[in-house]
Parts: sequence; structure tokens; C-alpha cells
Amino acid sequence: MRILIFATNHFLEHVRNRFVLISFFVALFLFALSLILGEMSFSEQKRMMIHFGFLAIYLTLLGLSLFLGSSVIQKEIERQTCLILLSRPVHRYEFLLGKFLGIVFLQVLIWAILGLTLVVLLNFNVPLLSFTLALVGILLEAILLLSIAMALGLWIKPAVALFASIGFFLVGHWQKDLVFFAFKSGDPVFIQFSKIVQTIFPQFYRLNYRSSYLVEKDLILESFFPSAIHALFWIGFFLTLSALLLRRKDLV
Amino acid sequence: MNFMKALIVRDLEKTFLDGFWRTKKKVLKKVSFQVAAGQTTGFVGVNGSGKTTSLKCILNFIFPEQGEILFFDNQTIGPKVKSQIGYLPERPYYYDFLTAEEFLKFHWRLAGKGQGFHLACRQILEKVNLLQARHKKLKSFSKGMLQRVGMAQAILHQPQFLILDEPMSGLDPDGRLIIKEIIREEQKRGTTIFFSSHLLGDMEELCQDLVIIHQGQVKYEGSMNQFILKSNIDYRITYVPTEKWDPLEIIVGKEKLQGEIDRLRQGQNQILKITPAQLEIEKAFSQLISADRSTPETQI
Repeated sequence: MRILIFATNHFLEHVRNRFVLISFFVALFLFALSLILGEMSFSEQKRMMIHFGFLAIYLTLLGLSLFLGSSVIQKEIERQTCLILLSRPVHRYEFLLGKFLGIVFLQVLIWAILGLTLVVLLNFNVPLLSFTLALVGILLEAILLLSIAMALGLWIKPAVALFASIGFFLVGHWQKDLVFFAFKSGDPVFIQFSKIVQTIFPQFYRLNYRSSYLVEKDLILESFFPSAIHALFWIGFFLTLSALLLRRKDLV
Repeated sequence: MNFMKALIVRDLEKTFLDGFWRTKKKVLKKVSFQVAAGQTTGFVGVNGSGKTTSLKCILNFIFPEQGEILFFDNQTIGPKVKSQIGYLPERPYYYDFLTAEEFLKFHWRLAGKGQGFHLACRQILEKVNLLQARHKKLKSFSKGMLQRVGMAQAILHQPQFLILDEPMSGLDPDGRLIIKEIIREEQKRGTTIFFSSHLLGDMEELCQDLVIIHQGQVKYEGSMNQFILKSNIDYRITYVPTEKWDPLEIIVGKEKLQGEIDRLRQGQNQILKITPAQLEIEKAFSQLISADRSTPETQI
């Protein structure tokens, strides 16, 4: 219950945040750009629109994860706004989860608005399941990145946490190529290294259903579940890690 | 109230890492004191003496290396204890996108309260003289207004124990008067109050007990009256000499005061007033800490 009180408050804070509004309008601008570029292309208007539409949603959500997630708790500590809250009968993990959910609510809201806008722009002419899976993949990637940024933001300075989170994100996407090249090279050390990387970093590439959507169109729900469970496991892991870090952190 | 001590602090020690080379700086050195139930206890010290660090340890915001903190005789801090505590931090920063009423509602819900918010909110905002500003966003509030809304959230849930960190610092006389009035009302309600300040005049006015901390060590713990009585206070005698119009002043020590009064009266001088040359607590405080002034802070 108290987690929801924190989440609602944090959500309201961000709804009134200028950075969030700007991100939202940048996404709308990218939508407009996709319309123009679609018109300019010879035979791939719809494809261009979908590509740019996904990109706009993707960048907006990832931007929110990185910029809000890496500094959300540290900002509370620096400004000492958390002191007055934690003097209430609440646990630190409730505060943390409330903050996390507040950003997730915001991302879901923006994701839903932009997703619906894209469907409208495409005249509802999309395969519903595949299109939804591609969008859910984007959302899960953003939430996973948010949990990573929050955990790192509790451990290191926000600016460093932001870049480290980008590192996690890139490694998470390049793992597939890394494994491919490792096996291609036949070097056992390289192969072992690629396996370790695959174990200790979340596999972001598994959530990239937007590219698959553009290539295959018909995505299968069954193939999505393992990826979603993989993402949820890592989100849970990073949230637990954050809660443990915050539990014994001096709020100075 | 079914407890004798609202707070027991024993042998608190805290070290911070300071500067580029991360040198250890001991901020609290075996800090021990108690806060009696139903009393107002002042926590005095110069800037950097360890007041805020002690309060942060007490409220579990930072973790001491050593020591024990007990509330209401024998309870460690947890949600149950926290529900009986009201806290006002030193520099209150709040979510400035909220209005005063939204802010109080947020805290009302966090305190686990259900019905009755609107009445409680109205009463509390009236008390802190912010009823007119209840729909204004906190970012438009002055420092004094923020301090008052902070005070409102601290007492909104009618706690048994109030912990206030510098509640009157930076306030104008009107703001200080309001905060003092609230503290007095809480005293009447039987609330235990523990507040830190370096404004000694306010302490003298409001507190029955006193804890003095200096360079991370408790230098005095006991009643305010005893503390003042112990000190060697000077008095200022204002008088009009015989056959003159302009008043004169002399400052004498406590031990010579009666003799000086007798001498002036025998000389037909007219005594206008006798006042402490300095606030009594200020004098006592400066005497207590003067011995430590030249001692450098511990670097370990």
C-alpha cells in the first residue's frame, strides 16, 4: 500500500516534470518525421513509419530509464527529501519500489499513448499480436534498463551510473554477435569469455522484437514468454540488489 | 504516557571519510544521553558539533559504528516506533510540485492514517497560519512558510515524540513566534520534544532539560536551571547617579552583585534595572566549551 503511495506521488512528480514533457514531444516530433520520410520513400512508406515509430517510443522510454533511473534515489538523498519520508513508518525498500513503480507508471503511460498514436497513424492496419509483442518488448527493455540504472545509481555517482547503464545495455545487445564470433573463431578462451558475458549480463537482444516484427511480421507468443521471463528475472535481481544497497546506505 | 524515557542514546560513535584522501574523521565520540518523557529537551552545540549527525543516527538515516539507541524505554526503531515520531529536518526540502494540502495528504497517508484528513489538515494549517496558502505549490513558498509546513507535517499525526532539527533557524521574528507557539502547545499536550538549535535564547525559553554536544562529545546533560546556576554570570546594573540625569551602567559578577547594589543605594543612586549582562545560557555555554576551543578535532 505504501509502495503505491510513493509510486503515485513519484508519478505525479514526473508528469509535472519538464524533462518528461520534452521527451514526449521529441517522440511526437519523430512520429511526424516518420510521416514525412514515409512520403519521401518510394515503396516503403508504411515500413518507414513503423521503423521510426518504434524508434521514437524506444528512445523516449530508454531516455527516461537512463536519466531518471540513475539519479532518482541519489537526488532524494542530496536534496534530503527522503529524510522526512523515511522518518515515517515505512521501510527503505518500500520507498525504493515506490520510486521504481512511479517511473514505470510514467513509462507505461507514455508507451500507451505513443503506441496508440502509431496504430492510428498506420490506420489500424497492423497485425495486432505481433505489433503488441514488439511494443511490450520495448517496454520490458526500458524497465530492465531502469532497474539497472537505479541499482548502479545507488552504488556510484549518477553520471557514472548513466554511462555504466549504457554499457550494460550495449553489452546486452552485442552478446549475440559476441557469441557468434567466438564460436566462429574456435578459440576456447574467447568462447568461454562470451559464455561468461552471457551469464552475468542481461540479454537485451532477446527483447528486440521490433526488428523481428519488421522482418518477420508474424511473431509467436510462445517465443516471447522465455524472453519476458528472462527480463523479469533480471528486473527482480537488480531491484533486490538496489534494496540491499539502500538498506545499509548512509543518507548523507 | 506509559514510558519514562522517550529516548536513550548510549555510546554512539560515527566516523566519516573526508576529503580527497578519504581521511577518517570521527564525528561522534561515545555520545550518550537520555530524553525524559513529557519534557522538552534542547540539543545544543555549535555548527559542526555533531547535532545533526546524532539526530540522523537516532532516526536510522545513517548507521553508527557503535552504540545503542532505544525509544520509549526499550524499543529499537521500526515502523511502530516511527508512527509515534514527528520529525522536522534542518533544511526542509520538499516536493515542490505539490501544494501544501497535497503535501500534508501524502504524509497523512504515509503515517497510515485513514479518515479525517480534511479536518486535521484544516486545523493544522490554521495553526501554522497557512490556511490561505493551502492550494499554492510549495515551490512558491518562502523559507519561513516551508519551515511552517514542515512543522505541520511533523505534528499532523499527533506524535508522542517530536524531533526537530534547528526548527527556528533562518526564520523571521514572526515565523519564530509561530514555531515557538506550536512547541508550547505540544508541550501542553504532553508531547516529548527534542530539538536541536544553536539559538540559545530559544532553548532557555522553551526547554526544561539540556544536552550540550561539542566536538562530538556530550559536555552536559541535565536540567536547564542547574546548568545556568552553575555558571558564573555577570549582571548589568543601570542606575542614575545622584544629582545627574543620564543613566550609567556597570557590570559586576554574581558574587559582587549584592555588595554593589548596597553601595549604590547608600550613595543615593537610583537603580533603574538589573539584567544579566548576557543571556544566561549563552554565558554558561561559552564557559563550558571555552576549554575545548583550542583542541583540534580528532583525525584518526
